[in-house]
Amino acid sequence: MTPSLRKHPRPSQWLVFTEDGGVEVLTGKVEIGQALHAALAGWVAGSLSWPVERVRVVAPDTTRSPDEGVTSGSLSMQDSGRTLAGVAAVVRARLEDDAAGRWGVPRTTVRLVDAVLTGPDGRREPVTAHLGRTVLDPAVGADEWTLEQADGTGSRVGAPQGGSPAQVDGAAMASRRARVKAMLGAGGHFIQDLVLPGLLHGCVLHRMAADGAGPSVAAASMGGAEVAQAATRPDEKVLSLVRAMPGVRAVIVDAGLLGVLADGAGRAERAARRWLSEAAAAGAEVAGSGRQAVASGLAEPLNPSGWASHPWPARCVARHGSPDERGPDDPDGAQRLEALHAPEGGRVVQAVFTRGWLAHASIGPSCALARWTDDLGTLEVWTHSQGVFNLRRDLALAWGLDEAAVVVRHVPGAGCYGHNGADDVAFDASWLARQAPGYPVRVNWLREQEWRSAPLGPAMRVHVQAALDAQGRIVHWHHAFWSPGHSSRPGRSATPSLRGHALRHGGAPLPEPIDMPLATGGGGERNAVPGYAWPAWQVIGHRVRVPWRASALRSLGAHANVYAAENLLDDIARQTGQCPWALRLAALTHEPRAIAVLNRARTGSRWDARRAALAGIEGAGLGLAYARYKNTGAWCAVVAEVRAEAVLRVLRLTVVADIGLPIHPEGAVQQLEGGAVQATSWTLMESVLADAHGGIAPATWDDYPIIGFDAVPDVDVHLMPSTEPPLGAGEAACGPAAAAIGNALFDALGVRVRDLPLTPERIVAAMAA
Amino acid sequence: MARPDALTLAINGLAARIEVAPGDTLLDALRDGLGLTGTRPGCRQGGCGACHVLIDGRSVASCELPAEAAAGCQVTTLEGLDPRLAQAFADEGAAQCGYCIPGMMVSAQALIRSVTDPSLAQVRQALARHRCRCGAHRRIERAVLRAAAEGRDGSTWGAPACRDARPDKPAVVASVDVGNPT
Repeated sequence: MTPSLRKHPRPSQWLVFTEDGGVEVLTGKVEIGQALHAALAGWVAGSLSWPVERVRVVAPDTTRSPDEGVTSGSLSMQDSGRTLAGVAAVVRARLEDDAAGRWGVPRTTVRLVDAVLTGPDGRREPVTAHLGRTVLDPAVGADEWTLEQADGTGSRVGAPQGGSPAQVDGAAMASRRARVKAMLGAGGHFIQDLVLPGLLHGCVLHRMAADGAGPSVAAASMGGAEVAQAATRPDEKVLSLVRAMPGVRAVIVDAGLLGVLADGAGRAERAARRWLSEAAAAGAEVAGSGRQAVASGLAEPLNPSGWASHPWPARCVARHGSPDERGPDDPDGAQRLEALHAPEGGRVVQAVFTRGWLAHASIGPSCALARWTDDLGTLEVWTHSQGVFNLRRDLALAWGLDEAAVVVRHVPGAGCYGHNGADDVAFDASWLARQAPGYPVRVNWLREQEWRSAPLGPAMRVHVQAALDAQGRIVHWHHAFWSPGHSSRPGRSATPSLRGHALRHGGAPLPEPIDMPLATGGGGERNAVPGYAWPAWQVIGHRVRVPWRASALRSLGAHANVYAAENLLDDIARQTGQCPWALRLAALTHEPRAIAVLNRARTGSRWDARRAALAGIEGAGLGLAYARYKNTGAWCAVVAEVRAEAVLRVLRLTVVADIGLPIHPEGAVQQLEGGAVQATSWTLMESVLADAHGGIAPATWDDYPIIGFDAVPDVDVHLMPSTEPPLGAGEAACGPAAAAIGNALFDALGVRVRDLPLTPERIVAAMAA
Repeated sequence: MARPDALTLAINGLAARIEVAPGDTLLDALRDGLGLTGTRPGCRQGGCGACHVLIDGRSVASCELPAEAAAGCQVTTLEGLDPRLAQAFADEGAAQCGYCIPGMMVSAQALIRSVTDPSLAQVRQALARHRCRCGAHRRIERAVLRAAAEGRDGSTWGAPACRDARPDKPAVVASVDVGNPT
């Protein structure tokens, strides 16, 4: 059984038959543009044998959905999908059993087909809500659970009784098309469009320390306790100006929080912007008030290049066959393991890589609605958070309520790609809505505030060393990384991880970002553990403490770790005269699925023909990279073709992935393509700069460009055929795509650029060095 | 608070009378005033393209345009676009989160009405001011080309008769005055 089913063992916690002949699918995983709900609808339709147009996936809601934690880590198909498919199969069997008993006919003669029970002599009985109720309640027994009884081949996963994989995908496609057409039609689909009776519109700003000095800005960004003390009451003249703006109903100040309530979304935002501009003119610090960026980049302590010189706490994340028998338990072990010695006649190849801070950069700034009861005893929240139960927990903590007194419902927002401001703005809405008990209040962050107040994907420093023997074989691999924790998500700490709570009077400091255990994918350590069969390796993690708030961004540490490891591997191949494919394949004999993916990438990209065609073209290059996401997820290889001109252009990415049985192949292809394109953008152009005070500089899209139509590569995605259990697809291509681009740049110009992003300035500097 | 003024706009072929306050943008008039939520609020800085509408056939950011500046112009929103556009985007799998797409559909309609057989370069040019974070760019281009091809069957490309403007809905949302807690 799946962990989700052990926690919620009754089918009624997953499926509901409705009076109109439909099935409602309950899941704890949210739809955030990854086509998950279409895949779930298709899979349930196939497993249950139900027309997909009568399968409705319910957006997670704490009053009725199963708690499956956060929608993250490319785990939804594994966690929720397999549970739902299995539960649907169980329910179908129970319905058939029940009908056979009632009809007094042999069990084998009864079949559920397209929502109708059929039996001998043309018996037909549509499944009703009443029939459904009788079979949905008893917990699923171990003897009923058939999904994993397939001797490891997963064939039952691939061929649910009700439909072939093609039918399941067809159902998912139909579900997805219907959703997209609804999304692009009239009537409203997103949380920004949700209208409730008596709706008020709000905007909430986060104040920084009044003097703007580095350390206090740092405290503000992480915690806020100091800010709450430092924050003086805003100038009364400014308050009056804001209050007099059209449509403004109230302005509210609570230490580091400033709120505007108005009768329209645009009017609330304009009043908030007025506040920002007045505050900037007066020299006060409010997130988004438009301070000057420091063009040169990041000063300490934000700059990953300097992190090695700090005595950050270090730990051995994982090791294998290390010649040094002392290790994680040895207090000096981690430090000592830093130095890798060359074996007799051999040498050490090493390099340091960095990436900067990355923004989630959703097209729509974060938004939420909240409504309190008149007595402020219960709270309802509408959110585009990735984890409605985790958010409920922290909202209850923040307001001193029982979790039962807080209801959190998911409503679609703009794509988030990780932990952006969605949870924080939900707190802000709950704070502002206390001013108008009984009335729903929508809070929409300003774009300026989204850049400054939302968590960022943290910068990283990675030092990879490889000891080669006299024959050029890798005998020892050492991967060390420096990074803040990669998760500040709510629901996991003693104090709420909600920025506004930390900024209000009496609020607790924000918890420090953490890394989830390696067994569940890790954070900074994600994909730092080599997937190759080197005789010995170790991974050391250094926990960096910095003033900016770090949290999960798509693929977490895998982007930087895979970039570093796969770039160094290419260096080794070149220095030892080996073929980069052969070097990898020889170290993956224990991973036949990895070998298959690499071989397919070589043929799918027409590597050898392209190499010949590109020879002699100035600035043209080809590069490859491979990783198995999280070492436990999808296998993925990418080939990049680039042209180094005035800027580095990525012309084409060939992405090959083994994601097990693709339940909804078209959805998986879109996810792999989107992940590769987003990683291309990070790798070519993205880095959040600091202002002169150490604050986050960007205020507009001009300050943080992302890849556009003029620069997006063509992406060819190939899915390996498989009947193995399905794996997530959304993040698998991020690391390999980035690393393949770095390797292609080396192929094009003969220079290795080890600091991301690969800007023209850095490429030119590397060529001059 | 300044007193709202009444304004009549031609939205998707219908006259819509709404009340606007000083500073209200066309985006506010459409969403808060008329309940036409297909036009997406993005950065409200004119930098993302999510809020584009057609003004006399030209694709512009509605977040920076004062509502009164649209008076006397023909305004077309997502709700008034040719339905073949949405179909083409759905068929090409061109929407992941979908947030940015309505603005792009608006620019696509502007392009297709002026160039019946646009080249890929022309499509990219038409979409240059729009941002997408999901990485669906190539699919979006294909969707626009597909929609353009759909439109070359001799039929008129353009808005269906509009049914979505709601001139009865006032711009000022009825709400409680919660006073001033500060």
